[in-house]
Amino acid sequence: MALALNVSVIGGDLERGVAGRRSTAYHAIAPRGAVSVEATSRPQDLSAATTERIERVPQTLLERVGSGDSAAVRECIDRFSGLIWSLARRAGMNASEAEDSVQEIFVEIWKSAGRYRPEIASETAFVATIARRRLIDARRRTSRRPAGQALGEHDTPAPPISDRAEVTQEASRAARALEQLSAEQRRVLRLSVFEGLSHEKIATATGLPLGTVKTHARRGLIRIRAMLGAEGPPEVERGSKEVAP
Amino acid sequence: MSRLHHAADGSEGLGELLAGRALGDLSLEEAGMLRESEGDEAAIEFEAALGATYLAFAGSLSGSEFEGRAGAASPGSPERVPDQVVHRLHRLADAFVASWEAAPSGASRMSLDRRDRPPVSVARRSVRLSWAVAAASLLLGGLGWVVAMRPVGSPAPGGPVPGQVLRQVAARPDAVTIPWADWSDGTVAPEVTGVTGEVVWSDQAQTGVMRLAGLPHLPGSVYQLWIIDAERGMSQRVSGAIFTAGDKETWVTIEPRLRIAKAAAFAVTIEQPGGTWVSDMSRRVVIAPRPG
Repeated sequence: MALALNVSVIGGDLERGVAGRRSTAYHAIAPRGAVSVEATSRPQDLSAATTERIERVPQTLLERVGSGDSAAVRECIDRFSGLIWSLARRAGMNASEAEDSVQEIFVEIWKSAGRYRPEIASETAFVATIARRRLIDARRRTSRRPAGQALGEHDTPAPPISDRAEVTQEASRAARALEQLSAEQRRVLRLSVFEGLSHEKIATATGLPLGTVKTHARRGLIRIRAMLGAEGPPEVERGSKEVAP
Repeated sequence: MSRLHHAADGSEGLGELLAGRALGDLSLEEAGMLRESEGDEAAIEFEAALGATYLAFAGSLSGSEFEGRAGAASPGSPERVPDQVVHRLHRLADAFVASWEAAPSGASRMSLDRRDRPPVSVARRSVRLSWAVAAASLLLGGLGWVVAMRPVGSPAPGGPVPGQVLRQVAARPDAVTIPWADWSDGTVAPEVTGVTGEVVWSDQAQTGVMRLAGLPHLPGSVYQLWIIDAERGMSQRVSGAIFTAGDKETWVTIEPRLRIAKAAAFAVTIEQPGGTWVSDMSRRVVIAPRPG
């Protein structure tokens, strides 16, 4: 069977060998219960664009990590541990599983910080993207899903996801964008983005055709990206912003 | 303003591909359609939208949903990170910074081929290791825990990359594309489910490429591809690749060590670091049987 591929335009990620990024060959793998930390040099193997960005003084916390600032690595814990812990618990993990995941997520944040672009995304969104990927991975490893919970007749909202203004602001922006989508699109996106279900499982759960699920997910994300982009790039975060109690 | 804004206005197809990449649902053909020019900036914008959407859903849980997932928490306030977790995170940060110091000065990411460094078996323990020992081992080079393996999709020095191989295979008239399915035969359940993707293979070329989406990271283990030759059967399956999971998708070049007369099926198992010569096939993931 011949393949109907436009092979003349294959390139980019596949040419680099890994979809999206170059993977590191050197692993230090600790026994279960600890988190692997790859031995890497301070970020030096940088693209020209990255070098150009870092030649200006790094201002955000993640930029500082990306430029090799040791203190910034530790400051990340103060800034993001609450949010990441909250996300892990909301993903249905017990305390032990949540701790493992939180550690894995922080290692990936520190390793990926050199990719962070403040003019494109907020640090909160960057961290949430990494957390989401790791938490869904962890859930697939345990093959466990959060227990279904019947809604009470007068259900109250859950506690806020964070007491940091930049987190609630980011979540609110996206929530407003989600409100503009159809209920069906929101449902598909929740199952895909939040629960991490495959399109096939979403189709089974919702009764929607597989093609419709795929279209809803993609076009929903396209609209959200457009709406968030229309609000303008996020303000560069230079310090913590605490919400007054 | 990024290219994406223009793309979103004028090219629905491009936007869908980029959204598909962020969601991790690109087919092999769609991945081949994305050009190198659709690079990091557009990808970051979609990933940021994905992250923000995730936050919105996480923040919108009802009270009963939250109770069911996170258990009891202080009413009206975010759940507090336990002190011991914060303490261990700071020690993890120390180890991470120490690994910067331990790397050779001026060295970029090391690229080690597994043929150069033999694998070292990893002791598996059920007891959580103290961070003092973990950090000390890293400072000493972590040789007791170091496993060198061919990285995901990255070629050995001089070896082929998946994109190049895909081009070779696609040109062959005998090329086949076989989708993955959960490997369950009613006796042994797959250890990982929900993995999608496909294998592209040519008996003539004796090589192929496989794509897997939704493959979880497995610290302390690797994935191994087995090729079942129609002439040799399952009992003499041939190893075709050893790999770890990529972040969203995993692309791996298939390079069997023995000649395959006719590939009847491809199967992925979970093995100890470094892979194995003979797998008991007890830790199953996916299988792709050739139709017909």
